[in-house]
Amino acid sequence: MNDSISKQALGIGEEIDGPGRVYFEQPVIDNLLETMMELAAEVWTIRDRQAVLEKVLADKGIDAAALIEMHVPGADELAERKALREAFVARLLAGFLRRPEGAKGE
Amino acid sequence: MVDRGHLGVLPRPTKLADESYLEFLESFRDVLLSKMFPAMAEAGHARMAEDGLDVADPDLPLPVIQNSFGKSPIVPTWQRFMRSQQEMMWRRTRDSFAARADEELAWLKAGEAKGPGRLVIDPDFKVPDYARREIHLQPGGYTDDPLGGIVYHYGTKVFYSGTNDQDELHEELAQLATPPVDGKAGRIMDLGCTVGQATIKLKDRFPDAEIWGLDVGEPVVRYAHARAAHQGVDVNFVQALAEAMPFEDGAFDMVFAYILFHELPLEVIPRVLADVHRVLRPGGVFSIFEFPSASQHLPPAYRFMIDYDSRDNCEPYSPGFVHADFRGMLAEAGFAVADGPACSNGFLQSIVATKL
Repeated sequence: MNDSISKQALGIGEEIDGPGRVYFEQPVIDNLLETMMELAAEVWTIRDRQAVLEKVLADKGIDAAALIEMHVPGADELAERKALREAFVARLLAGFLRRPEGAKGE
Repeated sequence: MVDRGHLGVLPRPTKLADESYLEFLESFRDVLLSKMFPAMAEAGHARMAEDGLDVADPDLPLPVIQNSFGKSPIVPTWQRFMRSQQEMMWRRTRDSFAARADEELAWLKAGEAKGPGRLVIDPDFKVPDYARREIHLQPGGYTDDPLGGIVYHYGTKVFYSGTNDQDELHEELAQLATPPVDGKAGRIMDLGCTVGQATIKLKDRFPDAEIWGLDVGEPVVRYAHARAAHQGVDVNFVQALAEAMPFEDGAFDMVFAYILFHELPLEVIPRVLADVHRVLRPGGVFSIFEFPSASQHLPPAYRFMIDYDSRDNCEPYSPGFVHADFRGMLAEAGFAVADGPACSNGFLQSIVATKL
């Protein structure tokens, strides 16, 4: 970022950098939806990069897409990937498991 | 830094990650408008019916409509998504081009000295306060960000959901612009030209005409000029007010304006119309593609959306415009007013105003 032309230097961006807007009575819902959008944008960005990477490699004679499909994992690799996958699922569902009946006030 | 160049006439963001992220938002926005807005309209109209309201009643106060719409959970969800995608789009677009600000500013500078067209910037020009707004949430709006031209250009790629990447809409509108009945179109003005997309397309259609693009924002006319110069297109740009154009009486055969008037305070519009009337020669034609105005009835969902857009997408002047008698104002300014040819965006009205 060129400092001389940053948003701060120009004093611009009040709309996108300010407190923004809230549309639900419970702002947590606004925040959750925004987080979901940011995550979805990032997931797409990674998928798109993966596709471009495979295309670039294919242009160099490396059929990465096919090599990936044909890859046969060993037992160690399978176990390692399973552990990572289960940890990911646990993180995703952690909130629901901690508060199965919703929030309870003290 | 790798120069990722252009795709046709469209600049590419600095990184593939920026491009992918913004393309995601483009698709997201398309669903919000093409799928979720109709679903919201249906839900809102159903809530109105449950509340005993007549959806076809044009005199219902907006707060009554908002009250019924607010009972459906899809409504705040749609608002949340619209606002967030717009904020995310501008943040990423601006950050992406700011990352190569030196190169972009050098490109603008190099364009300044290039022809064939002229760039006219009056160093004493003062931007009126009404124009210094972050319209559509764009950081710095049209007037205050030196990178505002390219940021606007790429941001509107997302706005048009990818359907205008090669200025297809501007080409359509330039083809639909109405020439005077005597066929003489020697000098043409693109009023409120922003980055000059229609200006260039008008030159394609009228290659022998002298074409001018005028806008209040220096960043956008500088970008428009550099873009045209680098493409070798002979069109001219000037930073000026539409209500005080630096041209002689009767200097133009045609004036063209695309979605300009809903961005103006209501009290400024008659001054702009008077100046367009002044710079047109007798028989000259003013072609307008614009938001709907009071002469047309809008369904409650559109009234709800326009109000949302005004408050939460920084469109401060559009509610005033859509409720005003714009055609009456044109007639008052001395124009003969008629319907113009319809364009592919059915939301817009098309007007042909002829100087008698």
